[in-house]
Amino acid sequence: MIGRGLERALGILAVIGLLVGLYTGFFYAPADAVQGEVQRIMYLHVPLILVSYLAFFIVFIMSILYLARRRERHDAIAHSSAEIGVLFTALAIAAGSIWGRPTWGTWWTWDARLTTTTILLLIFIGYLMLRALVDDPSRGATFSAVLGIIGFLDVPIIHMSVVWWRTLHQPASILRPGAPTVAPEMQVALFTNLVAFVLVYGYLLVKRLRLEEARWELNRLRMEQVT
Amino acid sequence: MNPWPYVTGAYLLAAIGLLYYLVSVSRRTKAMTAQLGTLKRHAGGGAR
Repeated sequence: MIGRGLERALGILAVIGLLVGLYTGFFYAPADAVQGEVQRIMYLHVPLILVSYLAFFIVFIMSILYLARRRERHDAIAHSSAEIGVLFTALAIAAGSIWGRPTWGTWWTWDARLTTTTILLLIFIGYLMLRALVDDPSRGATFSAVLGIIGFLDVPIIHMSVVWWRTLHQPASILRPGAPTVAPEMQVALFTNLVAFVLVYGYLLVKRLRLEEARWELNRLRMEQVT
Repeated sequence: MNPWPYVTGAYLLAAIGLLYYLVSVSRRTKAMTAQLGTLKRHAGGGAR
């Protein structure tokens, strides 16, 4: 069981984190020398995609654990994390598209990073559809665990896509060998927003797991009534 | 080019997306809990 206290604490911390993130992103960090004010979308876009990587990493770990131990709890965490990962990836793509219009002159281009990120989104939409389509929950969990593991392998490809292929997307500024290439104030704004979105992810995960707990209880009672 | 429509648009879209998901999870949990309550009442009634 997940404590209500933890859920409330995460919710409060997430709201505080988001407010601090907005302050650092809009008032503390300076406008970009080249892009100007529109670059402030970075404090939304980058944390969203990094937290989606985290969400799919949790899916990857929990799927391995589910296949090894067959515990419902691992499957529930993987399922919940995948749903939140899809949300974060979709929002990151949308924010990136809005950022692309004034900087690249287009809403969308089939650039390597954009394409591999879209593939990630489609893989995990497929993961959620698979869960909904398979009647037997145990089989559904097994199939989706395999897809969750394979799907996560796209994350390192996305990260390296700007190195392996010639892309319009800029190379990594933070998760790269050597020192970050952004100004210290911008690093602070990015870091606070990243922490805020990790807290939002944690809060949503706890909320989503409560739904899974209710589902288990319902299934258990139904099984008891049948037997 | 005025950057603010893009900046506010991106942040508003993210806020709406996150809030919509939060409301969706809360609604689904509420519906599931209500189903659970009904089933428990029926199970209790059957035992009497």
